[in-house]
Amino acid sequence: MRYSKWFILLICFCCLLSCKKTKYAGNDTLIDSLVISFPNSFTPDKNGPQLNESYKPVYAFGAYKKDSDTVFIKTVNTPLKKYEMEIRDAENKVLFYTENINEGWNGTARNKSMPNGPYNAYFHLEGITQGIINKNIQFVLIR
Amino acid sequence: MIKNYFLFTLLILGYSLNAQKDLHYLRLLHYTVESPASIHFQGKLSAKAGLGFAFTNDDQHVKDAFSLCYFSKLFKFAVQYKQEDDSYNSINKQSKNISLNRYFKIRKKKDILSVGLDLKMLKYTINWDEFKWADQADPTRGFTKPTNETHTNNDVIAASFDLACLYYNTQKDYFAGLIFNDITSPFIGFNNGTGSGTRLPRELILYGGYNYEIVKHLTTTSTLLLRSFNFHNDMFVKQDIIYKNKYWAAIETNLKSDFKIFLGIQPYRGWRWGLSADIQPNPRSIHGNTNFYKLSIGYALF
Repeated sequence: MRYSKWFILLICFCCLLSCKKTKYAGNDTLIDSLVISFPNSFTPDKNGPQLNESYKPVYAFGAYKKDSDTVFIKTVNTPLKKYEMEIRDAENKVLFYTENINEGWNGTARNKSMPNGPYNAYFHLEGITQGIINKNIQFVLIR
Repeated sequence: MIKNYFLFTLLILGYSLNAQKDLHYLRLLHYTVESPASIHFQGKLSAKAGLGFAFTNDDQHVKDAFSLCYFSKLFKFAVQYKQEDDSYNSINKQSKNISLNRYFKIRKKKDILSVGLDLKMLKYTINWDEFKWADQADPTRGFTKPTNETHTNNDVIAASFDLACLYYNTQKDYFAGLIFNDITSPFIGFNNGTGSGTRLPRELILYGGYNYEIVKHLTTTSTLLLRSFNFHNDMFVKQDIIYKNKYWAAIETNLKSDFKIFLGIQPYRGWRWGLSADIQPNPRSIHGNTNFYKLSIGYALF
C-alpha cells in the first residue's frame, strides 16, 4: 500500500515533467519541434535575395536554439493547426492577411507600393497539441 | 509700431501613430493638425513663447522636435524653423523645416486668410547592422548567417514642401483649412544604384471647426478633420471644452477604435500642465493592447 502511493506520486511527477516539455519546447532538442524566426526587415526591390523579397517568417523543424526573435512550437511534423499573419501599417490599417505560412507580403497594398517605414505583423499560431501563441513583430520595409 | 513675437517651443514627444498630430502639449499649441497656416491662428501666437516637455511610456519609437518662430505683425509675415528627430527600429529620420507664412485680411478685416508654405529637408540615416534579414536566419543559431543583401546607402537626403491655408473669422469663431503635405512626393531610395525605392506619399487634410460659448467662461470647440494619405481615407472628430481659459479637456476619435483623451490645467500664470492618453484597444495594432500616456508640462516664457 505504502509503495503504491509512492508509485502514484512518481507517475504524477513524470506527467508534470512531460506536460512542461510538451507545452513549451524551450531549449530542448525535439525532432518534431517547429522553430519560427521572424526577420525585422525586408526589401521588395526585385534585386534578390529571394528570401528578403517578401515578409514572412522563416521556419524549420527540429531546431532547438532560442533567442528573442524565435518562437518554439511543438508540432507532430506537420506545420501548424492554425496560422494567421496580418500586416498593418503604422496607422493600424490592415494591408495583408494570410493563413498560409509560405505566403509572404510583397510590400504592396491595393496594387500600390507601400512606402519605406515601420510595419507590424501580427501572428496567431496554434500548435497541434499546444496552446495558442499571439505575437506582434515590428519590421521595416526598406528599398 | 512693430511688434515682434517669438515662439519658442521644445518638445520631446513619444511615438504617435499619427505623427503629424501634435498630441497634447500646451493648450494653445495643441491644434489637431500642425499646419504652417496656423502659425498665428487664435491662441498660437497669444502664447507668445513657450517651453515644454512631454514624457511618455512608449520607448519603441522616440520623436523629439524643436521649433522657433519669428512673427512680424507689421508685415503679417512669419518664419518658423522646426527640427524633428524621429527614430524607429534602425532608421533615424531627421527633418528640418522652414515655414513661411503670410496672412491676408479680407472683407472689412474680419475674415483672415492665412497661407503657409513649409520647405522640408529630410535626412534618413540607416544602421544596416541592426537589420535581421530572412536569408540570415539559421534555425539553430538565430540570425547569424551572412546576408546576400546589398546595401550602400547609409544616408538618404530628400527635399519636399507642404502647402496649407486657413480661413477664419475674427468675430464668428469658425475656421476651415486645408493642408497638402509632401506635394513633390520625393523619391526615397535606400539601395543606391539599383533604382529601387518608393515615393513619399502625399497627404491631403481638410478640416474645419467652430468655437461656441456655452455659458460665460465655458467654451467648446468642435473640429472635424478629413484626411487622405496613401490609400487611406480617415475622418477624425475632436471636441474641446475649456473653462475660464484655465482648465480644458478634449477627446479625439477616428470613429473606429482609436481615441485620444486630453486633460489640462493652467495652475499658475504661464504654466500649463497636460495629460493625454492614446487609447488603442487592438491587440493586432503596432502596439498591441498597450495604451500610451503622455504627461506634458509647458511654460510661457513671455
